[in-house]
Amino acid sequence: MITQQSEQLARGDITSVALTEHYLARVAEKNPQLNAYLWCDTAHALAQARAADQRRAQKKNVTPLTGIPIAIKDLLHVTGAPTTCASKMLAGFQPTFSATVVERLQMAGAVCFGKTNMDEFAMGASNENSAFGPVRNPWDPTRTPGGSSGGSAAAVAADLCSGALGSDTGGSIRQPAAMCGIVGLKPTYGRVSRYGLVAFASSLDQIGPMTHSVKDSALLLGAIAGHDPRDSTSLDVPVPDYTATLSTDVRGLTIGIAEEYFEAGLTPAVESAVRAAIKTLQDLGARVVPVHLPHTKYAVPTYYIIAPAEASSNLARFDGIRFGHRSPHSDSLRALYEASRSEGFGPEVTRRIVLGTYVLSSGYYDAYYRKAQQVRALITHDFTQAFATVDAICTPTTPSTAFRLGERVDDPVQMYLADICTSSCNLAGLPGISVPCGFSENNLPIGLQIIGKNFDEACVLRIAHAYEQATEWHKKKPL
Amino acid sequence: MCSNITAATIRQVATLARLGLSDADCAQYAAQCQKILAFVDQLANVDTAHIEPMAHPTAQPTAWRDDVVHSSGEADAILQNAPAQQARCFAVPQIIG
Repeated sequence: MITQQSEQLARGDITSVALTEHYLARVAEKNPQLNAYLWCDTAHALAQARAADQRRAQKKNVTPLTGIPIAIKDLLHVTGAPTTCASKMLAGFQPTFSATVVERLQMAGAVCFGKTNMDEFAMGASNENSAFGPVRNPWDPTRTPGGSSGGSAAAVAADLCSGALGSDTGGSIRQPAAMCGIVGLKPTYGRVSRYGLVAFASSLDQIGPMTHSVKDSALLLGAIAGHDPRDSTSLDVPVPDYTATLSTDVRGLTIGIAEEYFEAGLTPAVESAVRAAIKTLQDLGARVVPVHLPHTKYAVPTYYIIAPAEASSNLARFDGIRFGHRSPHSDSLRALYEASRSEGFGPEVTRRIVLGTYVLSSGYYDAYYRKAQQVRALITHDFTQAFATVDAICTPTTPSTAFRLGERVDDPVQMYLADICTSSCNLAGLPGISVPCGFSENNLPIGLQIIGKNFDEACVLRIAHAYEQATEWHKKKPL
Repeated sequence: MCSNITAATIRQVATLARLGLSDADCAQYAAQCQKILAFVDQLANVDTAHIEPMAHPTAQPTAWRDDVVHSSGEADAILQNAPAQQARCFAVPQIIG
């Protein structure tokens, strides 16, 4: 999509203003039903589009992204646009700076097109935790798009932008990508700067592209990746040209299959689609071998100790003093803190702050938080052992296709299990991508996850591209 | 690990986290957290003797920068987000009686 639009812009067949107006019209038509965007401003978008057209006319600093409208998850700061994190806590908040990823997109000439809906503070797997109403899945509006980057996933799937940015703490890019039939990439931890991302769990969060194709994903990753001194966890590792290393040839590559991922209560449709996808990669010349990741089943419980612990610390900053919601119902400083926080945060965020505070509290720290950190080391060690013999590991992205709105809201543990195939990557810091690999009987998309070695996004993208080019799944669109 | 979370536990945690919860909220979060902790209790089955805790996915050294003061020039814009301000300061309820 981006690649073709870029070529059209380069030839002068279309302008960025025309392309942006096209998406603005589609958002006006489709967003009332899908609720994928929280904010989309015509003047803000068209001003950037006009500047991009001028750059192309003057042949100044033109890149493949110049003039391309990209949607931004609403936890990334964009100057001139509000950041809400889909929370009442931040209603009306205007950032004073842009995230590094947004700056880099704008330097490349992209149009930061609108802010997409999400689970509040990125906590959720269904987008039902947004304070501004759930996003609906473009393939079936009675179902969730997944979460937490469900707005970005739905916007891409419904063709309401050329591509989008999401963030992934336990699967929040890959899981909604799978459920909406698009490509979602979580880069290696440290590959992309988190500066200007409202933090959820700082040792797990990564920003990544959500796109129609693997080539678009490579293009966007290349634009946002790289060292940033403003994020002390961003690593100074060279960024290759990811589009140059895409290939339809996977001969010589060894792909590992971990049966532990197929014991995760997969639906028959997901299991057969993913096994068929692995067979396709084998037919394309990849060597497929078994690997063992024995601590896989402990990833979700580990994640649901570490992520809430970090969240309870990160969200302490929302106190009603310097920014965000301040309760009018308080007469002392302490009452102001308590009332502002309980009024501003929704139930899932409150639950995670409670849980995180509990596992970090005196008497429980060793039993929960320290224990989870030790199991995290074992999960990471499993991958290190596996990657000694394979180039990548293929798994399902999700155990099931998109579930119905309301189906899991009363059962947090059931909801958390939506992360069962994705959270290991975040704990170990590894890159992972989800690519469409089939459909269920009721026409809902299924995703194949490809996990790579640290900083080897090029290999992950190469395998994903080869698979995509050999199949037709990515060409199917929702109504 | 043996989790036994009561509404009183949630009340104590909410105080630490500065969350104003009603009695009904505390009872509801107690029941939910009890289930979640029963689920995570399976980690007790993992032998972690002699395993170093892992706090972070990259074993990089601490990043340093020069200790130099920069002016962001954003004070007025930052104050625009303040729920209440007075004389270019954040205004809060009276603390000392």
